[in-house]
Amino acid sequence: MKTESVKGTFLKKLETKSMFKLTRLKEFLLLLLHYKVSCIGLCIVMGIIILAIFAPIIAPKHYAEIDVPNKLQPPSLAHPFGTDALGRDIFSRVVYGAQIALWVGLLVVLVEASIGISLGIIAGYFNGKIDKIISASADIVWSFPTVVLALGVVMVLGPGITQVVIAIAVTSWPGFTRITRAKVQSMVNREFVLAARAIGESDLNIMLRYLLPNITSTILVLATLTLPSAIISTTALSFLGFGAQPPTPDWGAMLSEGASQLVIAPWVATFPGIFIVITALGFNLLGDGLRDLLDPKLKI
Amino acid sequence: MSALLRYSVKRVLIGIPVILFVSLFIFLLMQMLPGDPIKLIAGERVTPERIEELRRSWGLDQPVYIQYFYWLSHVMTGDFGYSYVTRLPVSLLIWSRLPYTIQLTFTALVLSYVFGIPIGVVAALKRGTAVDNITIGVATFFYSMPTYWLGLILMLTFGLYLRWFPISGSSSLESMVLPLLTLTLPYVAMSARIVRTEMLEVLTEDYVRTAWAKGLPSRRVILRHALRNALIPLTVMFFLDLPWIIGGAVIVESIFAWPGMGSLLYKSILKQDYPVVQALVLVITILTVVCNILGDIVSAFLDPRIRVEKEA
Repeated sequence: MKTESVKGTFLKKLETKSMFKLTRLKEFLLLLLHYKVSCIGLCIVMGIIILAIFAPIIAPKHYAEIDVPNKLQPPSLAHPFGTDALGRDIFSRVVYGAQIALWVGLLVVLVEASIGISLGIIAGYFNGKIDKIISASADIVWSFPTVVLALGVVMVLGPGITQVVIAIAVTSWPGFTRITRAKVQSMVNREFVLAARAIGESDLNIMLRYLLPNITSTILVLATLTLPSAIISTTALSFLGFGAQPPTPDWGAMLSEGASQLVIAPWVATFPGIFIVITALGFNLLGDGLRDLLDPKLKI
Repeated sequence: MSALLRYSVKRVLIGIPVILFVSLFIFLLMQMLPGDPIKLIAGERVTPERIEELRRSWGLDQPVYIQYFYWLSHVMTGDFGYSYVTRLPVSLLIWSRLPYTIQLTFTALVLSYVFGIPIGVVAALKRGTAVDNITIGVATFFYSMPTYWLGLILMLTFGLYLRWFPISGSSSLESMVLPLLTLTLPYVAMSARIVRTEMLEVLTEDYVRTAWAKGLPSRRVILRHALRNALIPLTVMFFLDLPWIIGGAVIVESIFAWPGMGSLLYKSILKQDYPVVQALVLVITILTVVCNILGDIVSAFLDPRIRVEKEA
């Protein structure tokens, strides 16, 4: 692979330049920063994370602070992104929104990954009947259109962010299962697994201590690339009014509030949208970069 | 051919329990709904006797599994019951909406391939150059863009400021432009990305190198040898994407008031019109399962290795 050779020469250059040996993490971060794509991605992601952590310091106002006399003000020095129909500062709401977006996105990926990976390892490790059952159910669930099914679930459980997280995670775990299963299957007959079996390690131990550590890089790539679509799906449901409820500064909910004032106050819908795009773009670029570095042959 | 036929039959046979499972799942989902459907049908001011009578006439006094088989046998004949809100047969509602959704989604999918494939091929051939970087950058940008925001932005610029196209309804061909554009752009980006990756992989294969070595004209190598094989995953994606686009159409149709199944689903959820929601979710998921089966069969037809592998 081309990426491998580029990676190799870059590492050699690094080693000759630096007097001391680099730790693996430092080496990895330097590599990430060396490539334009992953560097831009990493910067965006770090920016959004900083925005989320320091939201109370960065945001000039609280996200729910209503100021009706100043409603629907265009962007100005006092309100860089303008104000919405209740006079709330959109910049502050967007900044606090980063917390919601990241938190919800991470939660979806976490639930999805834990279901998907455990089933994937089990299916890949035990061939035969168990594999067939798990693969078949993964195929079935994979074929459900997420948004449509999530709408059904939300109708039963009522609107809310937790329901949305459940609905989306429950319908999209097979992505993790498929890739984990394929990876495990390619490793299950390798010497280190056979050796572990020979010294009498239990199946559970082999799965957790031998197989799982060997697929972490793939999981990292997959999780990074799943996060943006999780954010987009959850904000889509909030946009339709089934996710986060007011006054939560969810980007999708803010967009739908702004949609009705598109003509008189286009900034209300524009800025939350820009932040959804930037966040998704950042994670997609970072994920692409991570894939090129860690697992160039992975197809997602 | 016989191997393909056997594989197809097997795939279809697996599909039947899947569809049954889906129907059971959706039925149970609707059973878990809060509230009593009778209250929705009858309204608030009715006598207990009337409620009992209605319960019996709607079959709601039977055990759940009997209700399921009853419902299933009706669904199989295309009878989805009546809408709580409009009192019209649900099948009638769906049939009147279906052509609009198919018109929109099918055109979007075809257009996204018409534009996505050449873009992906060019990017792959110019790998590492500015053309490739810009193409992939723009593609990732559109790929990261949520459809509802793209829809609003297009509505704002082309509908409200420039006034080139109407922003809602389905009265003319022009009113289809904006919803179509909203659905198509992210899929152009996606198919371009897929074609690029596939082409890059195929271009390094031995048979492509052989074709170059034989001195074949580059157009022939690229189109006949490389692209043909690179397109296999995309052909399968066509079937797998169709239901996803329909799911995406829920949002786009609602924004642009396009009278398809998506906007019907959205409105029915808001109005708690359960029979309509139930039928729509069922129709869309069955469509998905059917498309998956078709996708599998087509990929087996195009790539003989799959047939053999799955047979074993």
